[in-house]
Amino acid sequence: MITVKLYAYLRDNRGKVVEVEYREGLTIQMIADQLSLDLNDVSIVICDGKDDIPSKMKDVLVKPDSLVHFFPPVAGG
Amino acid sequence: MRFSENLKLLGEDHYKIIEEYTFLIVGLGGLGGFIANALTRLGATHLILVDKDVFEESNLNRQLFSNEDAIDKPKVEVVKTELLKINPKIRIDSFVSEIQAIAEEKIILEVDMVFDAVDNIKTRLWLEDFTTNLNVPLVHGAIGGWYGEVAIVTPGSNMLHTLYGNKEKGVEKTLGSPTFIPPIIANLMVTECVKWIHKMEGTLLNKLLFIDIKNHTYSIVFDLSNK
Repeated sequence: MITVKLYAYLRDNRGKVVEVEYREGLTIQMIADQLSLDLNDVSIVICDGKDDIPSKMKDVLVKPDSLVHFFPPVAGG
Repeated sequence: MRFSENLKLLGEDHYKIIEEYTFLIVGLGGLGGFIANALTRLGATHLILVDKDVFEESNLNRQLFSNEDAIDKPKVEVVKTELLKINPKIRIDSFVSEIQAIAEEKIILEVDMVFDAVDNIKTRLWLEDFTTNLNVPLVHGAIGGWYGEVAIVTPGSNMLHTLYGNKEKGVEKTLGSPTFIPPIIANLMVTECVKWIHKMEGTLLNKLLFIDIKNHTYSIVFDLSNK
């Protein structure tokens, strides 16, 4: 199973930690789609220690035991 | 001696080092007030404060220098008055203005470090371009709900443009700014500033520290040096 950790409003209707079943060829974009998560609402994705912005991470292939984090933007002062 | 407790950690030459710097704080909301307070108590000798707003009742939950008497008064003037009570010798230049409107002022062009304490992405991106042109570091901080982030953005790194992209808002729009998050993030911003001016290792140089104080996670989530 892939563990997905979500933060702030990304947890709404999803929860803090979500498990996603692995299948071959599974990408970050496909996980987001499965969670009805719009990557435009995401600021940073981390997959197994590799971090980057969603456009650079969306096609990354996950492993059967990957840990994926989705972080939202923070902009208040 | 005033502020001498700082010297045990930072060394006898701390004041000589910090007096070489002029710090520009853009935005005197939740973050900016605590940043100004901390820099003053660290022994800074020259601050420039920029904010176009007056204090409002809705600021009272979190903004350090807000109080009933300060309502409807320009934030920069109130904060300046309070900082001078802490250290009457500090030089404080204040502008009741948007930063963009005073960007060509000589005193602004001569700053050594800029604090990004504004409340909107558009101005944050403008500040990143501005500090790139000035060739000075930008200490970035942002807050919303249980969350906050901190980084030192170096000129030309384009880190904030990369992270915010075309986004218009963050978690603060739905989670607001509670009492306890601004001082945490503001003081981390000042901590990074101190490490920078003392040329210490371990700074958040083009690294974004993301903090979740509800679940106690404190981690670097974006590191531009790995890209």
